[in-house]
Amino acid sequence: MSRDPQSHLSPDELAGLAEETEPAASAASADFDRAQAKAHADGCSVCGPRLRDHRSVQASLRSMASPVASERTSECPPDEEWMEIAAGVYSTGQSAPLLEHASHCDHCGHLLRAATEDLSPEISTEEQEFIRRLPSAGAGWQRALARKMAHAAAEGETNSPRVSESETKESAARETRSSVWWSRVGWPFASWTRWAAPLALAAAVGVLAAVWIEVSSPSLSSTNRLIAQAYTAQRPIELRFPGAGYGPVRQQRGAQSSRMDEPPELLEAESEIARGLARHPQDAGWLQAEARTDLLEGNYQAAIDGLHRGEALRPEDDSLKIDLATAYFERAGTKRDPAEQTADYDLALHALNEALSENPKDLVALFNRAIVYERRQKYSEAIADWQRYLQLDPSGDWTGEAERHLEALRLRPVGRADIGIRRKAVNKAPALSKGL
Amino acid sequence: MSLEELIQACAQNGDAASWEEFVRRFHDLIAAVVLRTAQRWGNASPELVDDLIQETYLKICDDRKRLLANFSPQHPESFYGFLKVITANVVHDHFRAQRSHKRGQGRPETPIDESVGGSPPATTAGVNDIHRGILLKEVDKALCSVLSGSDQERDRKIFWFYYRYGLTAQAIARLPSVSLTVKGVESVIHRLTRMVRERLARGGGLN
Repeated sequence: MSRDPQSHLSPDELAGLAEETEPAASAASADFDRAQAKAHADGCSVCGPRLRDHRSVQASLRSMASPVASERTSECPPDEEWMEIAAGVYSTGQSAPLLEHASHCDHCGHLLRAATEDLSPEISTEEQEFIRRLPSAGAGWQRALARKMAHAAAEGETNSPRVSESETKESAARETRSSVWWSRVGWPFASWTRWAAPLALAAAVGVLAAVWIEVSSPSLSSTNRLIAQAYTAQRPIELRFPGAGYGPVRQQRGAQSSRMDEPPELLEAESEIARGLARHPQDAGWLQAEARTDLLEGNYQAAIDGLHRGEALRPEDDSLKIDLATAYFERAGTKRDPAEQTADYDLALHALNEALSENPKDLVALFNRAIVYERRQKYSEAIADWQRYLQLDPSGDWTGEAERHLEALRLRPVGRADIGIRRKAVNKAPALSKGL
Repeated sequence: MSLEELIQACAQNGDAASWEEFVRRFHDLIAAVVLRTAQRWGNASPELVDDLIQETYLKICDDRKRLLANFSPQHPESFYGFLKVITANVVHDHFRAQRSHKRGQGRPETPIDESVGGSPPATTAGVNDIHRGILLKEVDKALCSVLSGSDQERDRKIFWFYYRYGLTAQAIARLPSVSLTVKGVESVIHRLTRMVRERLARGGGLN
């Protein structure tokens, strides 16, 4: 409804026009026709001056902001207190007098604002992007640092050496179980040599206990390594696992497969997973490991259920999304109803899209999505993904397979729907069927 | 693993798996605080940020007994605050140490906030300070005349934090003793602004 051009500005209209440039003004000024109110103020000898006065006062309020921090006074608390308040460490009772002081102190008010900005729980998109690209965001770096922390905690060191680039790479790459084992077990021996003779027996018992704990407590990283080795050895599924090395597709494992035919690494991994889950039944990492063995054994529904539980515990973990996509992809292959099959492929695409939106250069997610696109007969999208993959990884272990996929798609006769027909061309390595 | 179990595992056993989970779980929080605090000092290169992140974890490891002391199952959020304070202190200590070293070489370094604009000429600064002092008194007088109710002390602080120091409504809502949502803080700011402005405009504006 339009306003009467002759009526003077209401208090709401006056406030709305005076606060036009204020960030907090929008809610109050949304219920009137701004253009018509402005037109009235421009031509009214009563409302025009009133609006100018209001705008002038508003500008003065804005000019009260202190541009620089002043010198501290004798009444100012230590500067560090403002971080404790902004972090929520202080109780209401502790903080009330300090906040009263900060509200009129040009030294402490600035420190409080800086602390609220620095310690804000919200992380902007730009910050997230910066953090994601740091080497310290990588699993290898974090693993190497965790080892140093554990070592420092055991030794009581105060100045621990830094994680070097080579250590990060080493951790990201495959680790040999024995080196981890010996580095942990070796510590008690080193300490033992410093102990006095009467304590030697106790030390030996301690060492044996440490060895027993080490042997009886499976490590998630070593278990994942076993699964990756089992995958590479027989690669029963076309899509990739994060962290697994290249191996040609060899067979489709099905319900008829025998456990006797399973790679020994897979059997060992299953044993470790059972012990790991017994100790940490709600750990997303162990649930993921179990789901991966389910995938390798063709238990796709169990894998999906486990990965959903893991995702609920660790929703930001892209590797869970990638594995979930693989589980849907494999389940689609078991469906006879084309609609159900398409639905599963689309679920796989959705999970991979989510992973790639977080990390567009994730090679495993990109590789897998290209294959899912092929299976969904979205060939132009598949070609785009393969091209992107080859740009990002022009000489890796998986490059040859990616090139063969791309070549097959380019040679695809127009109108030919079933990309699966060309899988023979894609997998040039001979299929070493073991009769599974 | 719950947060409490994780903290206990790190503080008591401190095995690599527990620390790895700890690093994974708190990495974004610690990295964000390092990044912002380093930006305030004017140097947030990825290499330095990574170094300071690592420094923070090692300090946490050294002080691991304090982890448990600072965790309360009833108030788990206070543990996040504790980590933030440790992290910010590590960054400030780094730059302060660097500054004192450079001062020895005649090159002082200060946080960007402390050096913005440099120092204006003494006479101009003096006049500006006097004008600002008068303005603050006039506005405070108008503010006090419109405040009422049991929350007037809180509302007065909100007004000044917003206009005098530029805290956002989100930051004010998070302060202890404010006990308002962001919307609640915005509402207080809007209501007081309007009343103060009307009071001052009715008197012919500010000098």
